[in-house]
Amino acid sequence: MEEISKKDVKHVAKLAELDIREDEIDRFVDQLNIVLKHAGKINEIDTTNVEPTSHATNIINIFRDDIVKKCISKKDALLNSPKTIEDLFEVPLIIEE
Amino acid sequence: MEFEIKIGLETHVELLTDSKMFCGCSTKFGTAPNTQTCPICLGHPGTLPVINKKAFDYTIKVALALNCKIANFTQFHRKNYFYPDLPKGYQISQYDLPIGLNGYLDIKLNSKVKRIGISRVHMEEDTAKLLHFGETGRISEATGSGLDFNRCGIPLLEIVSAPDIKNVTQAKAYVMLLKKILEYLEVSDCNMEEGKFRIDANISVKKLGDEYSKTRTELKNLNSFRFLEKGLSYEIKRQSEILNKSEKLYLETRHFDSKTMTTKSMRIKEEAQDYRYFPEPDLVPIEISREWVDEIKKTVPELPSIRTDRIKKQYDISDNDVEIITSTKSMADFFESCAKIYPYPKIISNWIIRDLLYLLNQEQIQIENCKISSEHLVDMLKMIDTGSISGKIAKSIFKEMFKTGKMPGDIVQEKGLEQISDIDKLTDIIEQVLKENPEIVTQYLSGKMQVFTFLVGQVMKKTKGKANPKLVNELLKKKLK
Repeated sequence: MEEISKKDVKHVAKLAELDIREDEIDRFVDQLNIVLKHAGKINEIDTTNVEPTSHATNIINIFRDDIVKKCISKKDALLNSPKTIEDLFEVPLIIEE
Repeated sequence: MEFEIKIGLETHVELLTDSKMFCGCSTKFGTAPNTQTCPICLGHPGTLPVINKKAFDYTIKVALALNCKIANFTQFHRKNYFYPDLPKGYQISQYDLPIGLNGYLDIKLNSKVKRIGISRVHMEEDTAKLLHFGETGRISEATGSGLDFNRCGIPLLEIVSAPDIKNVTQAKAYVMLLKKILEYLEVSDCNMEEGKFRIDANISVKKLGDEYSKTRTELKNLNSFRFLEKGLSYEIKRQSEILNKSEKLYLETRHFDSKTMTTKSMRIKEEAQDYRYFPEPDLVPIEISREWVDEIKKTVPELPSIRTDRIKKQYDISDNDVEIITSTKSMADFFESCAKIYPYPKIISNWIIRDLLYLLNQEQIQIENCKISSEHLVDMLKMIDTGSISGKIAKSIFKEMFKTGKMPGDIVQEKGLEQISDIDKLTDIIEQVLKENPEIVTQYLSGKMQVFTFLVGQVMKKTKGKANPKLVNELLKKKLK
């Protein structure tokens, strides 16, 4: 089985917007490899005659009708925002130049 | 130096449903910020999405109209990326199994047909609206951002064209036809000002004979036909100039700035974006049966180019007028419902194009919201035909109908606008006019024929435009003999 490298850890950290220190990387490489190895146990099962699937329930086609329901109040909606500006969730500027 | 251009367009369309894609929040536009949200569209932990059936049906409808192959098995994926307009940290979208695949759209340019491939049609959810605060209002000069989640979770259609488009004219024709088709399908109102129909473009320029490199530009914010034209033209020029100087192009995302009409680099993409797509575990897969597709097929109306061709053949009106009349489905519907109950299509199209369109533009309303129905117009046209009103009076009746929605017969009665076709009455008035204008009469009798219209005008003035003009002409000529 392929192992997780230092490069993988750096890449995933970047995707997840996590700042990790250079000296932490080795520790994460080891930890993630343990997790991967554990999940890798699945590979021991013989799946020759099993159809690939992404869902295990065999349920399909669940829909709802296009009906409007009551929304929560603006006050409640904004309750979890650390900062607001003119009834908007305020966030730091994110445009990269 | 000669260049070759390759453009692929990605169009995002908000679907016309009452509720959002995965929750029951309203999709109404223009309400106060953050008043149409719930824990699902705000991305709170533990909430579960459920697919809006109507939005799904609409997507099949669009895919069919764009000649796509409809998937018999499909599912949703999570597209993972961090951006504040996406509260969950991922967008529910589609990946390897879109609802529609490999379709096409035939655009007509100078009566030649050019086929543009449609790579895929898929469903996703719209993101929140990000507003940038700063003195100039430009993204590049903003100092902070705020989020309105009313838009977050509105059903969004993504339509991706193949890179078959070779120039700006083709790009514009493609987008115009696509928008027209979506309007005909009645799945979106495609209001560009409200951001319900948005265009991104991928553009590659290469020297003639060279290979295309992978350094295409993704151009964002082309949200009107004018910006599409300006943005693409600018980008083609920019890339050509760089190639002329033998400099390097980068794979980058650029933003169109409508104030300067130029494009500005947002970020250079050093590596391919990595969205870590995986199947959405909160939504079960969907099997689209043949019967289901057949049901939706029945709801696909006659599409614009077919309808335009049919109307050209069926009615005796100019090609140019047909193009105007079929520019929207509601106008074509209006025309045809009139033509069903009135035998002169040319007269109907003249009134629509000259009078109705003028008033609609002036009042900034859509034909489907206007007070004039086909019965209004046809009743009025019949009154002209029977001579009970003059064509001139009809113009003022038309304006009145547009304003009040009253039937023409009622307006005529209320305002006393019946045409005067009584010979005795008209003869009296003509004699009066002749008596009051002896010099003009002398001029006419001595051969100055052009003063005749002046005399007709005087009769019209005395009758406030109600005199039957044909009769006035006849009687006046007789009197002047």
